[in-house]
This record gives sequence, C-alpha cells and structure tokens, in this order.
Amino acid sequence: MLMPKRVKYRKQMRGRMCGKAYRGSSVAFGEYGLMALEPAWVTNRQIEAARVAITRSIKRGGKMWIRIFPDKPYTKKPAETRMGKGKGAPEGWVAVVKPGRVLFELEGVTRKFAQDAMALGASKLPIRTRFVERHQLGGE
Amino acid sequence: MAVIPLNAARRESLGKGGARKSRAAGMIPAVLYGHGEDPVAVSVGAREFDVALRQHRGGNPIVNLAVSGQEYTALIRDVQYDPLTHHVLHLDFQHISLTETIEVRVPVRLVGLPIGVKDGGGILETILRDLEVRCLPTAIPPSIDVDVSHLGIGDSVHVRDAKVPDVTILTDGDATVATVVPPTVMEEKAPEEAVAEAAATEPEVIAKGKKEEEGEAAEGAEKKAGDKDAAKEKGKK
Repeated sequence: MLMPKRVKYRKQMRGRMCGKAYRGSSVAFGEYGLMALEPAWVTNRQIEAARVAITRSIKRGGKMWIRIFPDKPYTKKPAETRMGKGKGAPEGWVAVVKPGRVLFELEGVTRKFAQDAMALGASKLPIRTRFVERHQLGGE
Repeated sequence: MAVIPLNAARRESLGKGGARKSRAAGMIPAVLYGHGEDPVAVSVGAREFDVALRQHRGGNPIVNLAVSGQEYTALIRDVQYDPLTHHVLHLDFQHISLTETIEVRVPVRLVGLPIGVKDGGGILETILRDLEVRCLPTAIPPSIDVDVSHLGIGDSVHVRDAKVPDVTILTDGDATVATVVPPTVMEEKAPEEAVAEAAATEPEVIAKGKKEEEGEAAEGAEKKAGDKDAAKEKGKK
C-alpha cells in the first residue's frame, strides 16, 4: 500500500480543497488517463483497490502509472471519546485530489480496453471521474 | 503545410481582468511576439479558432493572423487549456518568416505492430513522443513516422533511425524513441504479507528528538486537564 517512508511530522492540518488542479492535469506518461471531476481525499486503500482492478483488467498487456501519492496523514479519535484532549491518532494516508487531476494513466492497450479498465478502477474511487486521452492541438 | 487564415483584434485591457473579460465575450486572449518586435496583446474569436483548427493535422499550425489591417504569419507556439473543460484559455502566436528556419517539436507516429508484441506478448513503450527539429515553416511535417514493425522483445528504435527529408533533427540521435518490453507478470501477494504491510501504517519520523518532546507535552497536557477536572469537581461540591 502506498505511504511515505519517512515524514517530518506525524500529524497534519486538514487544509482546503478549493479550486482546480492546474498541475498534473494532463496525460503525461501514457496514452489514456482517468481524470478526477470532484475534490476528495483519496485513501491509499482506494488507490490500491483501483490499481488492482485496472491491472487485473488489462492482465499482462499495457503499462500503468499512478499519478497521485497519499502523502497526507489523517487522524481519528477513538470511539466513545469525549471531545478535546488533543488531536486523534494517525489512522491512514490520503492523497488530496482536486478536479482535473489525472489519477491513473495507461499505455500499450487499445482504447476500448483502456476505457473498460479505467471504468473498473473508477468504481473503487469515492469521486466522479472521466476517461481522458492525450491531447494535441487541431484535429485527429 | 497550409497556412490557416485567422482574424484577431488588438486587446486594450490587459492582465487577469482583461483576459477574463475577453473570455466572457467569447474571445480567446492571446499574445503575438517574435521577429524582434514588441509583443502585442490580441484576442481571437473562440468559435472561429475552433473551426479553423479543426481541419489541421499535426502539432504546429501556422496561421495568417490579421490584426487591425496588418497581416502576420505566425506559429501557434503555446496553448493553455482549462484542466476540466479543456477550453482554450490563452494562445501564444510567434511571428515568423516563411523563408527562415525555425525550431519546433514534431510529434512521433509509430508505424506497424512490433513482432515482439504480436508474437511475444510484449508491450510497446513510447519513450519520446515528439522530436525537436529545425526546418523551414513550410516544411514542418505533421508527424515523424518511425517504423517499429521489426522490433522484437528488448529491441528499441532510436532517433537516428528516423529519416525525414528537408528537416534537421536536433534531438540526440542516441535517444530512444520506442522500445518493446517483456510482459509484466502480476505479483499476487500472500495474505500474510498483505496483512503485515497493512499493519505498518506508521512511517519513520525524521526528527527523532521531537517524538519524546511530543510525548512529554502530551503527558503534561493530560496532567493539566486532570487538575482542571479535579478543581471543577471541588467547585461543584
């Protein structure tokens, strides 16, 4: 499962997720991609589930890239605890995803295969997504 | 290569606000520069641009830009898109001369199905998707075709293998354009391994001394809170 090897601080502030993803918003490595249409915290478990779904779908053909990394720890207070007494314990890791962010990329498979694989991967994610292709100016 | 005629208007309101106003009016803010002239802020009709570019094939469209009675031959050097809607946000027009050589990036098109993919089940991996070339604007090819049909597993095709007439390729000749890699074998992890990995949710904290301090601070906070609770209870009594 994806997570940082070393961190400077165990806990982080929650932050905001307003605006669009201007970085990482184009298909850069492969031919096809899966783009986020909503802001969300995507956990490392969700990323892993989507990865497994996509790689199983494309079987042996094709190459895949994961364009997000869960580098933000999120915390949770234990059940039946009163409020206060400090921040909860680290519970897991999330990637902060903004609309427009390319989450996964694929290469070496046909468009139809890539579309089906991305649809399976998208079903494991907590957000609406869109299948995108490498873009070039003009027609074609 | 065909030169696309395009109308543009000088843009008086500059900056973020001016650009937004012209977008709201159905125009695309743009800049025209090059050839030792001062840059000119212009705007192009979004619909007109879309229709004009629809017929274009390849990556380096050349336009004949008519700006308030004056005509400029320009290359579309850069296009900025909205990440979500993919509408064009801004254009860069570079004023060029059709008789002077320019440097542009031309997309690579891989031709044929490699033997390694067809028979060996390998994966064709594209390393370079465009090449830097120097040529006359009229000789810019829409794409550089590279034949990959002879590639077996582990073979690659390099920049020096691409032959294009009237064009000097500037990208390093030894650079790999595409390669056929062996098929990847999916590793299914044993359940024990997966459980062990899931358990290790805490990465190493870089500042080691910090952890102890944090622990002490937490203890201190607890003590303080405990004292407060005791005081409250006393007050109630």
